[in-house]
Amino acid sequence: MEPILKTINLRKYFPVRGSLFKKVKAVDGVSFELKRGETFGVVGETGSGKSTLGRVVLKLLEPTSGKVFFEDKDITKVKGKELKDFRKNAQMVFQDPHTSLNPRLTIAETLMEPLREYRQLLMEDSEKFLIEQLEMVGLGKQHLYRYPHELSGGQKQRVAILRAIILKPKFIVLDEPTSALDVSVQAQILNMLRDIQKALNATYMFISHDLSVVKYMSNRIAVMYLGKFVEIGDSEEIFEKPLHPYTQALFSAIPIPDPKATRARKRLKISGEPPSPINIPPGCRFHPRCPFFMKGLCDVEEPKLVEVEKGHYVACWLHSKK
Amino acid sequence: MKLDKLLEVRNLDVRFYTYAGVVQAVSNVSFDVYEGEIIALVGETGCGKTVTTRAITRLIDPPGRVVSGSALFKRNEKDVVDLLKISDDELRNIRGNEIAYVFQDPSSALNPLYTAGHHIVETITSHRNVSKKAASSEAIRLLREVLIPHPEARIKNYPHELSGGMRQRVVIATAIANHPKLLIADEPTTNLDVTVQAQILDLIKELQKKYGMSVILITHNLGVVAEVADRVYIMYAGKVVEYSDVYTIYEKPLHPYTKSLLNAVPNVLKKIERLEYIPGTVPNLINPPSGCRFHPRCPFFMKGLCDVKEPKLVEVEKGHYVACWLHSKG
Repeated sequence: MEPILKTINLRKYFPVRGSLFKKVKAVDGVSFELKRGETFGVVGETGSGKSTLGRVVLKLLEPTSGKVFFEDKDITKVKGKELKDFRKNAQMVFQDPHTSLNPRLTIAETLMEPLREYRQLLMEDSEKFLIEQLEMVGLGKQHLYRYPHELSGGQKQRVAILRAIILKPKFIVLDEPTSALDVSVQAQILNMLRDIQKALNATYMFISHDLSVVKYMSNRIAVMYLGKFVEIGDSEEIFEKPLHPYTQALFSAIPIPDPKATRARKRLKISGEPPSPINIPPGCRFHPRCPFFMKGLCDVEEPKLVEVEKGHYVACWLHSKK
Repeated sequence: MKLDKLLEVRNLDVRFYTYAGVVQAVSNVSFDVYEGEIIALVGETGCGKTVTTRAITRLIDPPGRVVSGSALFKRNEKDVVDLLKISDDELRNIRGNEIAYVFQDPSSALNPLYTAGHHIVETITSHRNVSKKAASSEAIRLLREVLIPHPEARIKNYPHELSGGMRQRVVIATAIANHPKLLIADEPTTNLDVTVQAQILDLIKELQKKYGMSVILITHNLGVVAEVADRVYIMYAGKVVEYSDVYTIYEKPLHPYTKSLLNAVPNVLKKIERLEYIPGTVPNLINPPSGCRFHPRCPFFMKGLCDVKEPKLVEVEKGHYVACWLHSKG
């Protein structure tokens, strides 16, 4: 089947103030394909470039180099009507619902904006339609003319999600949609997102630092470290058999809500914190923190993503030959 | 008070007098901390976990007020004091010395105008009669103890020159500077990445063992609790609804709120078809629900009982207490 979205060697560098040559290499050569209807999870720590990646594939940021194809169209080049078409089909839900909604618009106005832009609705039946839609995300008539500050965090995120899905997009980037919410609310929102996906047959790119949430939501998972994917695989498989030392360390650092299991398991501990994306270490980016570091190899040449098992890719010298 | 008890909080009541009304943030909360144990106060936003610990160290600012309650703290074998009644001077001797606090956000817990070393030196010199020079070599030792590389250089760094994880280590070093008996850690890892979180939790556990401190850990993360706590208090809407040792809480949760909370967290070791969730939201504490405060969201709600009478905490098995009408008689 044709992938819905495909990126080739995508890079996004940001200039560093006060320096002509230094660049923040937020995304540094990422290639992947998304299948229609799947949820593709992207996990990584602060500064790994996962949010930037989400923005670049939606053309909210222009890539420094590389290509993004959405349904076979290179979206780095689209303009005018084609761009408008793309925007209708590709939407985003942001992390913080408190800042992603316009505080000066009522919920109805916020939701009407995309509809009006795409002339999908006559004004007479708009209210009825909006109420139906609000009920779909667990809100109701009473919320229609409220302002964002009158809603709780969970309710705001429901509105932000509804705004993203109201034009029935094919592709949605969810950037940490529940990290600002309490666990009981988080569970409601995650379940709702899964139901919406089924109803719309949408493709999700789910970005989060919370591995348990990513696992619950995704079919496939990519682990990102300093602007690159270090491992991609089926979500069950990657948790059972993580291959890259960083993935292993990341997984063994997840606190598991089960005291017996969590205290009994074996762990791969790593020290230090991710280096700055301005001075990326040579060779494998993870080598300064890696417990399996091989001198003369890991710090010299960068390993490529290779397929070790069907659909399971890893970029590590332990698993590929030179 | 029992011999090995370090802190005994009884019937704590904290209210905030706002324009909208009186917020009953913490109602009738009692808990104990024994010597050398880690207890966790767990709950969602607004359940009163932070207010509880701030109240016992008298850090509640107006319009908030501790209405009633007591917090007995054992300073030594002979001297047990009520933290809520002692003089400000005596309290100042205890705070930062016998009881230390690690706040949630390490960037706002450190003063941006002072170096990392200054924070630690100040803490030491204000409680102990030592020279600045001795205090600063002590600070270097402490930074090494919290695993900060090159402490001699780091001691001169300002907070903005340190990463989030490093800042939290400095805050912890400051907190343990005077070997406190009780460390209160309020969401110490919430803003940190998982690999750094694991490092900080390990550090807290190690220090706790080494110094034999007791720790009150405040968190909403049930994974973190499973990792480090000995005993767990579950709070909901300003009240303790269940408590026991950590294994029992996770294996045999009794209160419907505890159960739903545990089922709402995704666990990577299990394949979960669908997460359970708690319908509705946390109640407004200006007008808390009558009877059991969880009754409007409870799947086992019994009309005429739960919404009328408040269940008391009862001991169902040894050391396992729950406040729910399903487990106590009316």
